Amino acid sequence: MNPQPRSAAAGGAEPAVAPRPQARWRKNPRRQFHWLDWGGDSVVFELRSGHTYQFAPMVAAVMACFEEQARSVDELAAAIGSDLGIAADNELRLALVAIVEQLSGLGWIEPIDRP
Amino acid sequence: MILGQLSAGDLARRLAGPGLAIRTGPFSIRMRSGIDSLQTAVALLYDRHSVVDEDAFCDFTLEIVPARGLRRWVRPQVRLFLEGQAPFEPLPREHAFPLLEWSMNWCISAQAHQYLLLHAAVVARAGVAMVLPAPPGSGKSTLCAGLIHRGWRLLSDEMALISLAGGELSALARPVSLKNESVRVIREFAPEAVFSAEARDTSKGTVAHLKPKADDVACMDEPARPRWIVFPRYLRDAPATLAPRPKADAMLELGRNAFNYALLGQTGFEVLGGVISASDCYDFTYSRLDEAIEIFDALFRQHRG
Amino acid sequence: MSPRDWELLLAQARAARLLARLAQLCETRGWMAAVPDGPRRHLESGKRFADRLRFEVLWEVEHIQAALQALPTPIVLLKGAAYLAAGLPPGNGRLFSDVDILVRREQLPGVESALFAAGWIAEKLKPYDDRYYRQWMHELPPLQHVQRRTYLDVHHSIAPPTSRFAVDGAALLTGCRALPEEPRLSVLAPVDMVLHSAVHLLQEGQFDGGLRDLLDLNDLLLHFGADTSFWPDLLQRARELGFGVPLGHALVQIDRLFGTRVPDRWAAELRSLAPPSASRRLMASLLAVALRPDHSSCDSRLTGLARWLLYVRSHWLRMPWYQIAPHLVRKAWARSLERYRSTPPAEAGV
Repeated sequence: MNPQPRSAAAGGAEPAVAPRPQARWRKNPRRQFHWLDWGGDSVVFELRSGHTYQFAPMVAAVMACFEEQARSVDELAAAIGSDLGIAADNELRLALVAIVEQLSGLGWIEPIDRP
Repeated sequence: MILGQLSAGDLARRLAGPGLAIRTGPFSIRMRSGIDSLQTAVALLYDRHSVVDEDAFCDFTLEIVPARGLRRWVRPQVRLFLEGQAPFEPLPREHAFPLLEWSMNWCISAQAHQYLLLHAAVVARAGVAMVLPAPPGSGKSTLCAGLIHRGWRLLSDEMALISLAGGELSALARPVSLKNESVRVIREFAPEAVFSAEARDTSKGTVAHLKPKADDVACMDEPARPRWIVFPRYLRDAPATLAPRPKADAMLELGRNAFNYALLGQTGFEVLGGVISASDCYDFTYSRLDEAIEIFDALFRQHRG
Repeated sequence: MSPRDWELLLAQARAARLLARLAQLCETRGWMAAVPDGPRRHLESGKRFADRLRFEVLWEVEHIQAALQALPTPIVLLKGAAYLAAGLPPGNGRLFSDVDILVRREQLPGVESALFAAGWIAEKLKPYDDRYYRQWMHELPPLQHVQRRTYLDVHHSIAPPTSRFAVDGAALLTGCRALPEEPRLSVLAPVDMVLHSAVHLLQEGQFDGGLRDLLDLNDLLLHFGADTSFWPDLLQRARELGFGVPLGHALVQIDRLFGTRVPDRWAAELRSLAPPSASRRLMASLLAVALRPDHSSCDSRLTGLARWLLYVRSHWLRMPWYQIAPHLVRKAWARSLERYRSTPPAEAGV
């Protein structure tokens, strides 16, 4: 059980990769998720590991974007900004970079140019 | 036949010999012990429970017997035997009955994976249940003991049994384990309550077991639907306060308080999610039992109204 | 079966770590509906436990693969993990514990480093023991993952180099097969898998195998035996690797327990490989003592299996069921250490 997403060193099967702004990421096809939310944070069950996580709404939003298609941080900012009616400014981008790092550390997303 | 219908001699003979099996909710448990204090406690606290046929299937057979060698006589000790093995260190002879109770809980928590098992007390009223998860020392057993003497039905003081099929809660209707100060509090709060003899100096302090009400034992096969999840915390001199807790948070905390959440994998996630969806979740701080009861009664009236 | 018989059966199965397997058997044979409610709940519960362990092993294997994928060695899964990953019958209803892998001997240092970087730490040994293992046994100590607390045993062969049945791992690697979905992972060739199981049963001439290991071996023989070239290939390979003795012993016991035997046309060849008849008879009679029935038969579809499981005596039973957590350590490695610790190197080994 994880009250917070685990850090890159501890959690996933993949080493953490610092995201370059134009780098594109996609959901790791080997990971399967079940989400539940009641209007606030989400709880997520990841099938392969059997772990349960609690995530803030922004993280859920990011994963929802990745479920749809691969994206770069800039593309994420644009999509989320438009969905939530907020400016895709630097503050949003920084938050998204942190989230992408977290998710990459867990092995939930992977860079597209990886062989 | 209920246990109370056995003569004292019969009861002692069966417990000391082939074993005596009783039904507690979904489980049939066979007990064997020649220890006097244990026999007395069983006769007192389980007298309304159904006796299971000698030849019928039992889920667990627990034997509490004197330790071998020197410790049979000097500072005498007892041990639990289960399926021929002794999983625990010996305990003082006076703790034979608490050992029996803990062993029953342990067996269920280790093996009954047809349920999602939470470490929590559960009480119910008019078919809806309140789950009180909490680590030891949070006061959940005291609250539980108080509630059941003010109109609530006891399902269990230690374990929530959640059906994997429908998310309903099943009852065990077994004695409530109370420690130290709680015993005194409940004696005052409910003078009609019946207690086992107190066992002193256990690893948890002084322990006594409270007899379940006859009605609660009679209703043990009636499930209840989850309605409230309340995380209690005893805080000296604090006024009784109920604060809503976000559901995602409550779910993770509940999972951490479960015996087999991880083991059940996706099923565990779905069942627990269902329980959370159906329930209002709260944090609860209190110091006075009567204030606490009022708050919970108000919750119930709100539900009804 | 009477209710008391069921209680005994469940207790024995649990103690022998076979509860889930029993449940699996009842399911596949369509017997579940005939099992009374009380016992059936225990079987289903046991199965849930086993189902969870499957997930855990697969998750563990994924981590191992990630840690080692860049190294120039095959990553060969052994035993439980292999049965599961390759979808073989012994993988069903199994309670998994540690993971065992086989790698190229020359790559052991690289493997250890890569695993260390990924969080697997060698069990802390006294300096003498540690040196003893690495220099004398040329093995890695059991590794434990710092975070998951799971155990991993890394081998370069299927018997310790000092044992009577030592074989060069390179011979085994030539036969190994990549997994279709995970080409970076392999399992041993069928004949090698069977021989590994047989050798594992007989640690240095002592019958040390558990009931579960025998069941596994039987499953493998039945599964692979469907291929007509399997038996001659097996005997040939046993001859090549010097595994005739353990194979012979194991097959005698498998025959007596399950009736699975080498096809007649190969029986003579097996006899020529197998141990002398005196020691075979001794082994067989030891086993008969171990498996002496102490319940009269009763009438039901489940009699065969039930009676057989009831025959299990206490010295077959390993750790009590409640001490078993997934990823427990105990193993041939640790036992060998005990054996060798008290014997100077010149005398150790048979």
